[in-house]
Amino acid sequence: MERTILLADMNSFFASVHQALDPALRNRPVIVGGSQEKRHGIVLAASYEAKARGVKTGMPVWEARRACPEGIFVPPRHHLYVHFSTRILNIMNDFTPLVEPFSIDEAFMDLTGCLHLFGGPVAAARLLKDRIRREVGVLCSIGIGPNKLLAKMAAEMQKPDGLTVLGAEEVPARLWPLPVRDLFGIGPRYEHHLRYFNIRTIGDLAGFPVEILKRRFGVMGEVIWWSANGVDHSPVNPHSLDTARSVGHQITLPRDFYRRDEIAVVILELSDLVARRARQGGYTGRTVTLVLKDANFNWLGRSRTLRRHTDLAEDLYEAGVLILDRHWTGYPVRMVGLSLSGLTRNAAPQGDIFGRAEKLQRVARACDRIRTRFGEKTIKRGSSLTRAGVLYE
Amino acid sequence: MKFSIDRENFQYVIQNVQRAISPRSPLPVLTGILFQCGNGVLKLTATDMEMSVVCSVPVDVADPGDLVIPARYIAEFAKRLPDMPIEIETIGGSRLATIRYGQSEFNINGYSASDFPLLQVPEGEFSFTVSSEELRDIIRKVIYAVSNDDSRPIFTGVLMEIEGTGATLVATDTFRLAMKKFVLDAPAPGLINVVVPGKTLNEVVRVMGVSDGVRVTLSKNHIMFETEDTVITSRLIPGRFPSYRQVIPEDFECVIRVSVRNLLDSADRAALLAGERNSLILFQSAREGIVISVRSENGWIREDIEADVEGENFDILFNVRYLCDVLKSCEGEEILVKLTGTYTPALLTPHGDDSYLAVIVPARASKE
Repeated sequence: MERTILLADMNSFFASVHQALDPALRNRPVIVGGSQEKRHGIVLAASYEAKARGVKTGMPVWEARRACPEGIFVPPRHHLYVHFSTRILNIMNDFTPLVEPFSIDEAFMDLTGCLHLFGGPVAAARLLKDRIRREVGVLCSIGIGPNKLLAKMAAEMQKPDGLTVLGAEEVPARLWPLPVRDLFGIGPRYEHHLRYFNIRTIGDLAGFPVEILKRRFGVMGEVIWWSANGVDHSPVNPHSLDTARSVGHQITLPRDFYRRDEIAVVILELSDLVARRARQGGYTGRTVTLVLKDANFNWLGRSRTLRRHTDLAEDLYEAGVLILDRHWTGYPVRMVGLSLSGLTRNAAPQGDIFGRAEKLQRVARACDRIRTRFGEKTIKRGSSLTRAGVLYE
Repeated sequence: MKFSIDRENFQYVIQNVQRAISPRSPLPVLTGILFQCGNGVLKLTATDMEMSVVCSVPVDVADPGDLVIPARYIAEFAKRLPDMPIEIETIGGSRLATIRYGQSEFNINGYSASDFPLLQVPEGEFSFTVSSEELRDIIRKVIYAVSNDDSRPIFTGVLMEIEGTGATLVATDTFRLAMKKFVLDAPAPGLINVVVPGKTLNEVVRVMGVSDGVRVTLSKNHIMFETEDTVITSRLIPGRFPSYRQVIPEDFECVIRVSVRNLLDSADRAALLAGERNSLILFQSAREGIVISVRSENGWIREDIEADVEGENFDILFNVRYLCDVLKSCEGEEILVKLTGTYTPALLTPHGDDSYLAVIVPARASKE
């Protein structure tokens, strides 16, 4: 079935957020990045007014200052961007539940099933742009296509404040003349490798024998060939962010730790912290990763997959210490990190025949309630009181 | 060392001991098989220091002697040998083994037999004999419940409990439990309570012939299984097996009698949709029988199974693999499924056979 996919890409998102919040910044060259006092850092985002003067994302702040002396430099405030991003996603969710956040400032929507509600794709896109502008105060470029790839390519075609429809039949005329680097999924590495085949434009790639690409690049060779031909079957997945996440924490130790027992205490403390965070988010996970760094910042990271999903500190600790015993060779440890991945919100936990998990679960809930009410450090394990305890001091 | 042997016997002895080898052992000599010949017998030994397997076959010995030959070469080579008499020889005190077959020869460097560590086994304290057929059946009924998670080693073993002539094997991975009772031919002197590595029991089943009896000998830290030509010796797993009796439920809210075949076939089909991760199926007891169903993003299935159901009705989430493992190990016609609640353990036992039971703990419904 022919699909209608839309991508909304916020223009100069971080800078636009600051402009939306402070009318004094509107129509002015706003540059987000670094810190104002210290003269360092890089540009994270620049308003179109600043971009017009040659300021680019990723440029060192001092260089941006030289290119645009009258620029208004703003330090980044990440929680604001998350908040704005959520507001925009909420608006998109008013159109359809099939919304896939792609990055903090981009999201896909599958409009296929709800076009009739809005009088067609272009009308829906206009309504969306209008609502984001009025309710959130930022501009966006929208691309519409029969799949995610073409929607993304279309959105790139007109910035800022664009609205572009790219049909499958327009691929030869509008996509093929573009340099291959502009194709979604082609980075500098692929660009470099493709140059050896004399592939310079997207059209070159689309016309290239797919067998040779497969032989050279494996499965990805076929994927990029289909992409160049405007074909992409990946669905808009509203849950894409639910699965890939992990919960973790790392701590740099106040001194190098040499003893296994001391490192184990740190792992236990990290386990408590990470498990608590997992429970707060309602997550259980199956893969535990332990990272150790020595004094020279050489690091070791190893994972272990558990037999069932868990949000219990005891399970994380058991896996963490097992990794420690298997892979740590006795060097001084300066930093310890522990994370839980393979997260899900709807694992049906397998019961435990000896009731261990259920018992620990009840203890964990009780501790959670105490911590929520009286503070994170009001309840801690005895081992945190030893010299090796660092997190719950 | 010099002896001759036919291809079939050669392949047989090597196959029997091969699994005990630890291919990546830091001790190079342990990656080999110890060959010893004398008195018309060739004896092969392999060990990973946890378990050792010794297998003997009659051969023509021309010159007694011994040598350790790297397993990866000799085992692969044995498979590739042509069907003809084989002669194996080491010259003088050298560590080179020469294998002659027809006009050809294969030479391989080995290790000195004196470097090969032998598992020191103290005097046995108690022995009993069991037919290989019965032993295979007993092991098969519990081995599936052994845990493969080495973070808690005690659960990677099978508890063997003996009192008088009554013996019980118990295995659990903490999600399910299997228990099988059997009767010994000789009474034990006292209470025996040991944990045998699951790996050892798997090896016993594999190596055991069809007809012969197996002699089992227990000592303080070891267990030994002797068949006609093979001896498997293994360390026991140290530590206390948790008290399993208290987790076997005794009062039931619902008792279901159902055909093993029908339930297994239905569960097997439902497993297709149950997915890789948790493999959960919904098991519902109703007045007329059992309903098994799975709903997934890929589709759904519903299986109606005729059964005698007595008691309250429940909707239970089972890991389908746990259910199938039990059903596959039952050879009777019917099985009793005894339920205690939605989230509490269920007991499965063959109808008319009190010697075997399995406990499965259900999964809790997800929060959504």
